[in-house]
Amino acid sequence: MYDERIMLAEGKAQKALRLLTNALLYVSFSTVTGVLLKAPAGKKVLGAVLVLLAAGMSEVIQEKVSRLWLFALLHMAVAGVLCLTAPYGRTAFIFFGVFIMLLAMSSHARRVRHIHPGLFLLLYPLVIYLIALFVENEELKVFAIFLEIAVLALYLIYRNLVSMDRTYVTAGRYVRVPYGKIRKLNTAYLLIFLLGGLAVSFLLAIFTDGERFFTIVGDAVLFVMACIFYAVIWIISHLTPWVDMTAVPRDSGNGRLLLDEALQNPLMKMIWNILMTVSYILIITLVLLFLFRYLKSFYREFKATRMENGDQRILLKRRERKEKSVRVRERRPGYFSNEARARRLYVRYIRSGGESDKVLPHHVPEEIERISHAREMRDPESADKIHYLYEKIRYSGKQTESGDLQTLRKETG
Amino acid sequence: MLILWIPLVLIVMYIILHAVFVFLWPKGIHVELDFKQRKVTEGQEAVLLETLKNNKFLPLPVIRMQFKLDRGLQILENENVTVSDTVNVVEYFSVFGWEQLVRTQRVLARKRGYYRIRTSGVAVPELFSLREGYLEFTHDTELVVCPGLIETEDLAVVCEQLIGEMLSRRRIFEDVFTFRGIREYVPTDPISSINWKASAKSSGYMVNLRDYTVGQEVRILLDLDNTKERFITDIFEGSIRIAATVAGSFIDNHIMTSLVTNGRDVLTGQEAGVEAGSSAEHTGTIGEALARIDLGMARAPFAQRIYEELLDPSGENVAYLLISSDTGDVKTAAASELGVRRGGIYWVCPVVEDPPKGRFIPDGIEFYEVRV
Repeated sequence: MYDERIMLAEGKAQKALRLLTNALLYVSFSTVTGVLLKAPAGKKVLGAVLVLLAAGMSEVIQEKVSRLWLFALLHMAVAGVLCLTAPYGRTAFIFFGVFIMLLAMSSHARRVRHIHPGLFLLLYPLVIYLIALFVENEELKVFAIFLEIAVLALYLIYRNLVSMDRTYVTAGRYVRVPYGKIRKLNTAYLLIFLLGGLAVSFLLAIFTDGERFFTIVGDAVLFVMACIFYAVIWIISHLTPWVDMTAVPRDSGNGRLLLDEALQNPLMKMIWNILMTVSYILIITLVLLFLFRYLKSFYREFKATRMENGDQRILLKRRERKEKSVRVRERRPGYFSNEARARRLYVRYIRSGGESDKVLPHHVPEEIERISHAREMRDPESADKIHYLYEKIRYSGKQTESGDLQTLRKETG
Repeated sequence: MLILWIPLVLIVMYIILHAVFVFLWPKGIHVELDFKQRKVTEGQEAVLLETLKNNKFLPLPVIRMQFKLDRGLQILENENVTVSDTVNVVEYFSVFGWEQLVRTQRVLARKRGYYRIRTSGVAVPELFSLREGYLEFTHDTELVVCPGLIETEDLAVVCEQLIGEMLSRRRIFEDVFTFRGIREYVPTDPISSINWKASAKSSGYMVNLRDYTVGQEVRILLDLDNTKERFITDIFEGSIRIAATVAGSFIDNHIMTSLVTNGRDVLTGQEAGVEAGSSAEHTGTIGEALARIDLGMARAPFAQRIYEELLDPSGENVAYLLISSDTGDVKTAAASELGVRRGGIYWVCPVVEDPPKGRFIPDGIEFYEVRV
């Protein structure tokens, strides 16, 4: 009964969301710890990688283990391993372990189909920002801002997944459900919301402190690229004799790569240029490919006259749309107008017959009066007069005279 | 502080966009439910067209539509239904902007009756919460399921006898004002009946054929009195099917047929009678009248109605066919009197079990038992 592919895809989306949330939490915690302890960049990166692995292991445990005692034991083991390999020192990583345990227990206890995040997560970046304010660390402030945006996006995705999950579960027992189209439209809405939010955040950041924002973003991108560059150099140095790691210039204090000096070396400059070019091409290609495939399937679905589930599809023509809007623009008589008053008097008269509930919307006045037995409650002359006056007011198209309204009021009592 | 501005603005933006969606989604939505055929017979299939129109730019990812049908109709491929006292149908759609979707459902008309779909509801879940918006539509689509025909030998024999009787009852006096056709001249034909124009065009003399002065009419008296302790629906439904079958046979043989019954019309609440007629459409009229009989409504005693026929002057040249499962004394006496005064009455008694032997049949009644 369920569309297996859809349920599988939804299951993967839920797992991806959980993994993303866990990774974000663990890595942010690690980064905050590293910044507060003023650890060198390399150790911060190592710490981040370790907790990322821990997040992955936590994900596997969450998926495979349902018994609480086994769940807790395994998480304690993960936390213990982290402590042993602690790049920040074991004390700091004990806090890590506690944090991981708390998070894991809370997700298990909530049993919300293993989906993070909860509402408390929206306050988490604010806490980091407050810590950053307290210790006067600009790096951490910036980190908190980006984390806030990421957390908001995750929360939006989570709320949407919960809504769609319920729809799929209730729709699962029915046939001819257009799952593919539902997913496409839902994804489109989500993307619009997310991109809109990203654009607003971006504009806000630019308008409030544009120069600093671009500097921070540039520095962040440079930092990430420098890390990748360092990793590539490390691999090349181990595979070939062309690069010597000892010759790579690094800051004596924090061990960070000194990019400007490293790029003085022609070989490293060439590697850097290749890396940047490949990165640009890869990113642009991936984005364009995603957009192209998405829009292509959207267009194909838009143009089809018959859907997969057998429904016939018609695109409404411009004339039909306009006719509809013209109809809507017709003004209804105001409440205190003579037409509306006459209608109310007539309705009261019909209801006096006692069987007005048998009247249907398509009945004309003659049928209405007969079915509701309203005519029988009056003498024939009076009933005829009411009928005549009502039809004159309702169908003549001319403005109602007050004399007609008074007569109708008198006849209907 | 950017850390506060960003989430505040994003939350406000989300609220505004969400409110726009909630405000806009009901606009331009229209649902139509129509049966492709207005009339079918018991056991036949009808087609229900479900049309959903989204006459605005905003696409709606999920729309859940639901409506109810009477249990007398069965949705084929019935996985989208739940059956309780009614048949509840749930359908899921997803629409782009300015799009109309039409879904076809095959419906089996299992039971005679008059079926209407009055309302349907549309629910649209919100994108980021578990809430749903709801909209109701009114409809006026109807399906008339005429009673099925009984093709048993018992009833076929009765029909043949009745038709034969009707044909032999024809008067010998012709109506000079009516024209039925032309045939060849035989020596016994009067000279005045020769059609000279037709004769000039053919090789011999041709004479006019006239219709008869007295039209034969069969009046079907359908008794649906509930006099027994147990309300046996099968017998009443069987009676209605017998009425439909015999009416169809008579009309096929160009015999004027009318219907008198104490069964009440579900729409008007009045007794569902039909005036005499013999056109092809008249079968449909009688079928529809029989379809709209609601066995749940109280019915007047039919014996009184039989006595009223004696007072009807137009009944002089009418052949009566009484369909009744009630062989009580009161009804038998009434039928007997009608039969004696009007030259005989045919009584078809529907039975579900083997009939009792040695039943006393009074004068004036030709009695037949038909298993239903």
